[in-house]
Amino acid sequence: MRIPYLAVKNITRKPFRSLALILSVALVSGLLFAGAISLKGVLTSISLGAKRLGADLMVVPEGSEDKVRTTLIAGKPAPIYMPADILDKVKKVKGVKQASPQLFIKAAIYPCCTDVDAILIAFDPLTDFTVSPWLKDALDRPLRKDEVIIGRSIPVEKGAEMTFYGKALTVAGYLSDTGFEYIDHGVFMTFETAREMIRQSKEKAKEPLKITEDSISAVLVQLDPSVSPERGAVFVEYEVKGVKAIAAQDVVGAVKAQLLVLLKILLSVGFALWAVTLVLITVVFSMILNERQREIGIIRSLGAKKQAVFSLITLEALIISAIGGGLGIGAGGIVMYLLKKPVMTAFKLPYLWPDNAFIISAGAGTLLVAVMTGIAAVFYPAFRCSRMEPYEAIRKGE
Amino acid sequence: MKILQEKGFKIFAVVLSCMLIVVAAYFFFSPAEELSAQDAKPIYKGKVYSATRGGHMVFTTITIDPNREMISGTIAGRLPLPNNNGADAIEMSKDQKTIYYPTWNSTLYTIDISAKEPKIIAEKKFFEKETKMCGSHIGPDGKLYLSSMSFGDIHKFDVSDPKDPKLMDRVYKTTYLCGVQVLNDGKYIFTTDMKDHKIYVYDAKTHEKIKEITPGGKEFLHRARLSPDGKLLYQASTGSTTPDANGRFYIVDTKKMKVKDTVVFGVNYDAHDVATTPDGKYAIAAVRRVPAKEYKDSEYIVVNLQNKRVIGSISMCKSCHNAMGVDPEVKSGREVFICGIQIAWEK
Repeated sequence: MRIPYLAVKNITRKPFRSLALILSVALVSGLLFAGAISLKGVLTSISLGAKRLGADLMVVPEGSEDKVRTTLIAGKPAPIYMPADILDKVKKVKGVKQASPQLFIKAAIYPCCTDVDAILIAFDPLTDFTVSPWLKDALDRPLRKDEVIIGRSIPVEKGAEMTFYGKALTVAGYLSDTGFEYIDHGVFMTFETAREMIRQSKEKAKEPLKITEDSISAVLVQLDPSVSPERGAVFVEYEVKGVKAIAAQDVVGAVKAQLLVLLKILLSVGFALWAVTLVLITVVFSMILNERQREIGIIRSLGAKKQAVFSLITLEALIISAIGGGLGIGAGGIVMYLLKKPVMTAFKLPYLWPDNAFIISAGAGTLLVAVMTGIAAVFYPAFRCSRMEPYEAIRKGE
Repeated sequence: MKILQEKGFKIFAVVLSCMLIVVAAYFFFSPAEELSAQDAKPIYKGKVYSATRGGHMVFTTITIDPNREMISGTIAGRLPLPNNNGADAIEMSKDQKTIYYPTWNSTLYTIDISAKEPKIIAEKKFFEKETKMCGSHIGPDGKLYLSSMSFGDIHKFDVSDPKDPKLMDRVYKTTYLCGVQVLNDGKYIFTTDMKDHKIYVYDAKTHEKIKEITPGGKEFLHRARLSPDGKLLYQASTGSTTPDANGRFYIVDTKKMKVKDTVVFGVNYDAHDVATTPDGKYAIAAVRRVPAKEYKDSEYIVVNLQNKRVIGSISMCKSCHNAMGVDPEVKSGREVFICGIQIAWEK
């Protein structure tokens, strides 16, 4: 009789016990896999978003740093405004190569307007170096007045009209998905369009915009390559009063710090579960092997070698852990895919589903861990059992 | 009796008396005065301001008598910091009126020391994250240079208004900085990296690293201080990375950029900073006693720099704690020791 056949028979003989073991392995594998893809998703998203932001620094009013981070990561526009002449002051600072203003406006949710979760962002096409390069992918011509380019998370078709504060705007194109809320929920328009919208809101909107004509929310800065972002931030804050310069890497750093907390929790829980599973499999297999001593004794007396007995037990553990691992990976992946949005929103983290190559390698890695856990757990009981003399095994098993 | 009444004897007695008076006057006035003017050296008196990990600045008196090679000193007081945070760096303005005291959590205190009792006149949070400033120096450009252990770079401050210090640059990044000194002519910046066990020399104009000096082996190099003429750099060190330390300070020739000499304090001593008398003849080293939990103390040790001999030491932590009946708990980031020192010398 072949070893694999015997192993499968043994597993199916006690279905409840086997199922319990499979589920415990599945739980650990699921957690490991879900943890890996969620961490990768956040990291991919944040680095892509920071790259898309295209600026070394974001200069904002002093005291509004946290609000800006929320705007960038969670896409919740903060009503932060400062005089437009800050732009000229920033341009004169040592190490500043390019500077361009942006204005953030919260999309109003009124009957007059398109009801979407969006952040309205005005930029200056003449000086802009952040939005324009990736707008090119969405539109092969300059953005016109009363036109907008929208992020992937806004469910409006190209060519459709969106109304904000009583002003109708035409969707000229889409941006590709980044997982970065600031971009994915962004409605990008020129300053000219935004100013007109502010003016018209006084007559057309239910609640007019209380933003002065010469306001801006932020100045995006590109630095000379010889100046590091951290130095550039110091230069700007030293030269220009009442502003805070946030380095793009600081935004990434803040998210990474949040991730570290999540990672610690995940690792602690995962390690505890893994240890429990390891002990559980060892104990359960020891019990199984104690019960099956007579059977193993008979197999040995029929001519099976010690190695065959060892292989049989190890194979049973391998099958259980492989099934558990596979189930865990599948369940973890599905849960993560379905719950990614609420979970990441709760932690205020951006998220982008990782590419297939990463998912396959994470799955393979998780499966390997699961299988190795199973094998490690039964190694000692299997070794002990295989060393028993047939006669002794039959007698003890009676 | 007849002889005593003779005229000759009277004259002799008067002459003898006059001679005695002249001789006495000679010894009383001129020779004694000439001796003190030639041999007596001026006594150094000052106040040592120290950065501590205990959330307070300590100030101690210091007197060095070079005539008898003796020192004396006593704790003069402590200034609790409002944030109760520890500190390593401390820097005094050239006019000896102001002290800049950055705590580990990136709050820069400006302390007025012109009055008898030091007083905090400004408190400014200059960075969100913990910078753990270790080294400090007011350069010839009048800017305050602080070195960050956390970020491994130098933060340069505009202190033209002491009540409103402004961060104006961040430069010379390596790994785990402690010392920073700007050479008197402002041409070179010396930084001390604890992790790399090296002193780095930068060109102040180009910001390029021009020299690496490895004073010893694998040891933690702490704060450094230039001699008054800028020709020497006194680099404090643990002397070893073992818990017992083998404290010392290196004397670096700033022109040749090489170690010229070493003053070793030995095991159980961990040197953190060095200051000098205004003429550069004596060094005052802030030295932590180790093992830390056993000693819970730092001392300042006075060294004659001409013969490199230790002439005495004064306890800066334990003497005060014992007098107050305090036995502070030793834990990470809240240890009992003094790192940076600055001395306001009496003129």
